[in-house]
Amino acid sequence: MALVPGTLDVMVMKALQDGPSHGYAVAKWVRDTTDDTFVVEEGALYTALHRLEKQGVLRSDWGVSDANRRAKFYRLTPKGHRVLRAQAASWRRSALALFKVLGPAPRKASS
Amino acid sequence: MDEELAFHFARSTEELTTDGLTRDQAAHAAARRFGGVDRYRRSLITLAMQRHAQEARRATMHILITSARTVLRGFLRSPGFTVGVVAILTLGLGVNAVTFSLVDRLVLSGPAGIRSPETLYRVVAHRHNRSGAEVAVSELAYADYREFLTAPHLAGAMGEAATPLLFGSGDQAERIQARLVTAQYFPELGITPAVGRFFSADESEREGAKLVVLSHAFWTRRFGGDAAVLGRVLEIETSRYTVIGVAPRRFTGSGVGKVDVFLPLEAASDEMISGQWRTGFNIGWVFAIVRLPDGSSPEAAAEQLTAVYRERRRGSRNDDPQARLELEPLNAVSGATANTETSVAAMLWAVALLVLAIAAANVANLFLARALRNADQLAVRMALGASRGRVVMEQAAEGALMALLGAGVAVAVAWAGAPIIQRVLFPDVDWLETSVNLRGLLFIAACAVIGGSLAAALPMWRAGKMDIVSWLRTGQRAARTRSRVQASMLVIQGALSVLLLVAAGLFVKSLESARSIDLGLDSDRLIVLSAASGDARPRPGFHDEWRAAIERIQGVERTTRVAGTLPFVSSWAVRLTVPGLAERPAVEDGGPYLHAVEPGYFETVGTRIVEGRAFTAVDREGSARVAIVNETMARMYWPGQPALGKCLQIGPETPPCSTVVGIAQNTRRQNIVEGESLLFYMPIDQASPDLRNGGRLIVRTRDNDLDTIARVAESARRQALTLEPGLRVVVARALEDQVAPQLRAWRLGAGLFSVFGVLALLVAAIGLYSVVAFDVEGRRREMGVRTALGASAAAILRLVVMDGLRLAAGGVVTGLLVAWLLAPRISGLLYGVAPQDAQIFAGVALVLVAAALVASVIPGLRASRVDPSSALRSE
Repeated sequence: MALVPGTLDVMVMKALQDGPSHGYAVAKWVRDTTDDTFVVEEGALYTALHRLEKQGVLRSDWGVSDANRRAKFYRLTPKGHRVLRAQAASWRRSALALFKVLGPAPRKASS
Repeated sequence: MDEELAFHFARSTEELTTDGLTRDQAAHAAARRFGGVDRYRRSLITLAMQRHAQEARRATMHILITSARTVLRGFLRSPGFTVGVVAILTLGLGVNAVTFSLVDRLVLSGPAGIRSPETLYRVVAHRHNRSGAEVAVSELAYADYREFLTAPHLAGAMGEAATPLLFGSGDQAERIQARLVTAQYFPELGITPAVGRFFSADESEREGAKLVVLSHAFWTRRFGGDAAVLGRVLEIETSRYTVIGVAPRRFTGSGVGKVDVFLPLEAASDEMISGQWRTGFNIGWVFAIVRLPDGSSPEAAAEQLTAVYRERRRGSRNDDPQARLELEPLNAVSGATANTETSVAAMLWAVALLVLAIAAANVANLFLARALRNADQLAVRMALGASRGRVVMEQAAEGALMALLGAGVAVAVAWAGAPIIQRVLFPDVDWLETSVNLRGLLFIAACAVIGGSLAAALPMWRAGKMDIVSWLRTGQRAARTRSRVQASMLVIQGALSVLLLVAAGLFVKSLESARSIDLGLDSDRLIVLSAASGDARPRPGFHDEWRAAIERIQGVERTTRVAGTLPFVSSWAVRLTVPGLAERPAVEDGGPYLHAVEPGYFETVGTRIVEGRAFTAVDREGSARVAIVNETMARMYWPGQPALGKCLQIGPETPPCSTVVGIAQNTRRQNIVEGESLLFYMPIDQASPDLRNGGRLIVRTRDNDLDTIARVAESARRQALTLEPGLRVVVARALEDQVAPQLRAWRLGAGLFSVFGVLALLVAAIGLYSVVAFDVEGRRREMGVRTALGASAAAILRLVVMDGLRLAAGGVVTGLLVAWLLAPRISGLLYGVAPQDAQIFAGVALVLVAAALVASVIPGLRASRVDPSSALRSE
């Protein structure tokens, strides 16, 4: 399913909420957590990471991965945490409203 | 970027292979999952670049703010350093701010409001006079100018003459500056009138056209800018002119001097000079300015003009096959057409920049000294990761900030001071606007930022490939023996100060010598009057009536009349035979010249009779012919014998002897500085008729007050017109007006070099003081130890002062040596003083040593009072 614009940013931020990760780990987390519902071009993911860093939401540092390879790690800045809280609340509200409008999935008629 | 993506692909491929795909399949799947690699890579790179730019901006801001904070902290911690640096930079920048306002008008911009001034040139004729010497003349004959109008290879030509004229009458009368211009003048320069119109070619060249165009400044000053001035009739000299227009604002003609009115050249010249000036080739009256078409070179044009010039004169009395014309730029800094002001301003600018360089060298020294002292702090900072580039940039920012502070003060000083300097040193120039304009501000700001940052950071930058800290450490260890950079800077400053002060001393002495020259007459209280009706002499008896009227004017002591030669005004030669002298000794261009004078002449002008007697009422027409000679003539014609009683035969054929009855002191004839002249005098009543009935009146005023002299001159002029309204030309000039301008060059030189010399000395002294003070500050511990070990206050003082003197010695000695070698080069500019005048050199050396003493004593006193216990405890 295609992504609604803006959801990628909030997903990336959520992925980093609990601690720093490198880009590949974020991509994997998104895939796993959404059960592949969203197909994200990983290039778009990296664009989102760099853009969020430019805006001051993320910060990057070079570190060493668990396989002892050099990788770029991203983490949320204090500003990032604030932005994540605000955006998550706003998305939840919209999702709830939409769910109320659309109603639960219709059941199949039984015979 | 690439490394990050490489890591991603490595992990991605790995994961896919563990899922069971082959390496190739895994690689393809990973790439597909990523999306368009190239496209994403490009946008990622753009993003990265933007981010870098953003960070760089933030870093610069951060550096500026930290520098500002450092400056403030530094000021609070060691105010001496900051104050010293800002003071030195203020001096250097202030001098440049003032000079720039002069240079902008005189050298850079030049005449205002003119179309394409770079294609305009002044024509200068290089002729040969009768003795064969080549002279450069900018006043050409009108006939030559007419040639330029029709020359095919010129894009235009105009003529101009400049003269002061008397305007108005009574107490409203004033001396105004007039430009007599041809009709092509305004259109060629691209000028349109602010009010009214300009005169046309027909009007200008027709005889009797009495039209005048006012300059904007004159219009504002005398007529309040009232447009109703058109059509008014103004009284200028002895004619009346009708106002037809006003020139635009800021237009001062083809030069930078003050202009009040523009008159039509041809019509006005008829009133002012007699003789065939329109057609004669030997009357130089017109400055010619020509415009060259695009792409043509001045040399080529000059060649063609020269050819025509020589051709016209061939075979005539003025034939000069070696003559040539040259074209000089409109606003030349050097050459025959360059006016003194422009050349001086250009020289001033060079000196001002030099002073700024001294100031910058000073500041560099101070920053270096401070860096040496703070080497430890710097080492810590760099160990913690500060890059060399960052450290240098911080220093630069600090220096630039202090410099801008100094620039602010400098601009304020220039704002107040420049108008004064303009008025005092260059009173004849029309300064169009306020002293500091936008260009000046930008120039000073640029100087401040560049100079300040360079001075602060350059010493650091010189560390080169070497690590800064180790360089500082070696410098620190060598601090006792002075780093070479510091020493050389101190030497340069001292040497430059010496040079400027020596030049100042030489010019001041020249000025004094020139001023104290005995001219042979009291030029400061004499007025020269003459009247003429066209080519005819005034009626006999006119002069006596005029004399009587003048002697009634208040302030007049006595009057006399003289025909022929008059010092600083004219020279008159007649045939002279001296019996007994087969071959008359001659003086190069020095006469013999004749003065035909009334008996009271010598007393009136103040020329002393050295031997014998002056003329009396006894010596008149019909009585025994007598003469007086000057000392030079007495000595050269009759060496070793008394001149009294000798015979002179004055006039053509063989006139009877005029017996020499007196010897007069030598007088100058034309210039303050000139060689000897052979001069002699005869009673005017015994002279030939054309001398007897003409001549000039000399008025001696009771005191030499300038206002009195101007008033008397004007009253005398009016009297002449009352007695004889038909007079065409009446001239009343103070003799001092002819004499004073000759002193101007020395006066300028003396004034300027004195000011700059003192400034340079001040800067060098402050610099020396700062270096010594800083040094003492860093040696507090040592001073404490010395005091604790029993050194007296006097001993410490002596230690510091000797250090300071040693620092200054190098500069002073170098400066004196260089000055000694270079001084003979300017001997041509001096008068009455040898270029290697021991008194001046000794005096300058003393002044420098005294300054170095004072600069060292102050920190020395402070060092001697250091409390040993606190000094040892600190650090």
